[in-house]
Amino acid sequence: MSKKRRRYIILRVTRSVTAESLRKLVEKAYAELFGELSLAEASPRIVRQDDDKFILECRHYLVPKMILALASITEFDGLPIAIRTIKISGTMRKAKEIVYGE
Amino acid sequence: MDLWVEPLNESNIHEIMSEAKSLGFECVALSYLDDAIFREAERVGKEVGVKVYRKIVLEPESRSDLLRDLKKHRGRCEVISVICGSLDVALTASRDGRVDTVIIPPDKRFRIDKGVASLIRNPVEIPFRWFLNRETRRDFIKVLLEIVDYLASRTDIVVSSRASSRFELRGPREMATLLQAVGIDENRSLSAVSNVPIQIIERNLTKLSPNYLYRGVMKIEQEEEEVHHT
Repeated sequence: MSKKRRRYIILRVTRSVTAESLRKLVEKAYAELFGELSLAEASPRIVRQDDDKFILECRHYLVPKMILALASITEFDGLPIAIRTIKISGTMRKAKEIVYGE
Repeated sequence: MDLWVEPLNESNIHEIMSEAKSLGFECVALSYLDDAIFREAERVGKEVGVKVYRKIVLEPESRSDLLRDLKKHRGRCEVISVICGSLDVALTASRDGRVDTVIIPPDKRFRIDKGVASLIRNPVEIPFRWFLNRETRRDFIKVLLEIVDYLASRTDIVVSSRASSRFELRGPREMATLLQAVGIDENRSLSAVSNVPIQIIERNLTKLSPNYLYRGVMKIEQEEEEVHHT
């Protein structure tokens, strides 16, 4: 079986949210746009959090769809929110460098 | 470049401009409010490092309204866009040289097919805000798919935000993914938020220049440092 290629999307959220609530928010937005099947394929996962920055892991060929799903999020707990994509990285090491400024 | 930002009032211009700059935009087209607000926007734009251009968005009911409005607004701003609710407005606007972009709303009263598509020449603009709004999203995606199916190979496509608050602004790459998700390649999707709107602005700035005489004809002033060639 071939290795599944992954990408790490570095995000900035305009309001304070926990990693768990962000994961739910992302999954809901993605499933609403592209369906449960595609969501299972993308298998998004929040792998790191640093204050308002997060690293989201997903399958490499579904990155544009994931970015669109993130951009479609406008509300959390009845208040406006925006999720900004800062950078996309191919390795976790580089993603951490961007988030933590190492 | 974001070809359509629609601030509600003077108070939220600063936050929109700052956010646009932080998202990576170098210039924005502001839908025309009034001169005082536009001057304030220009001042804020200079402060944060974003170029500001004027845009007029027309929403005529009929062909005659459109022609009257175009005559009235010609030469007053850098960008003229037309929201085409009906077929006769769409066909007129999409072939008129004074119109820079045509916008097809989610509640349009016509169908885009091969016949209609063959008559459309001007670039089609897609405001991202209709995608963010849950009420209009499904109809918007239907229109977007029609545009991609019939128009993408014939005309240019522009994606703008139509943001009226900083939360509605999206980065260039985020807006480009809207086209990527419906099957347009990455380079063309990115052009829809960069090259195509910049070309529209550059062409119109040339037209608005006092040295512009006619299509392809410019007055050459040797006194000035910069000499324009035709």
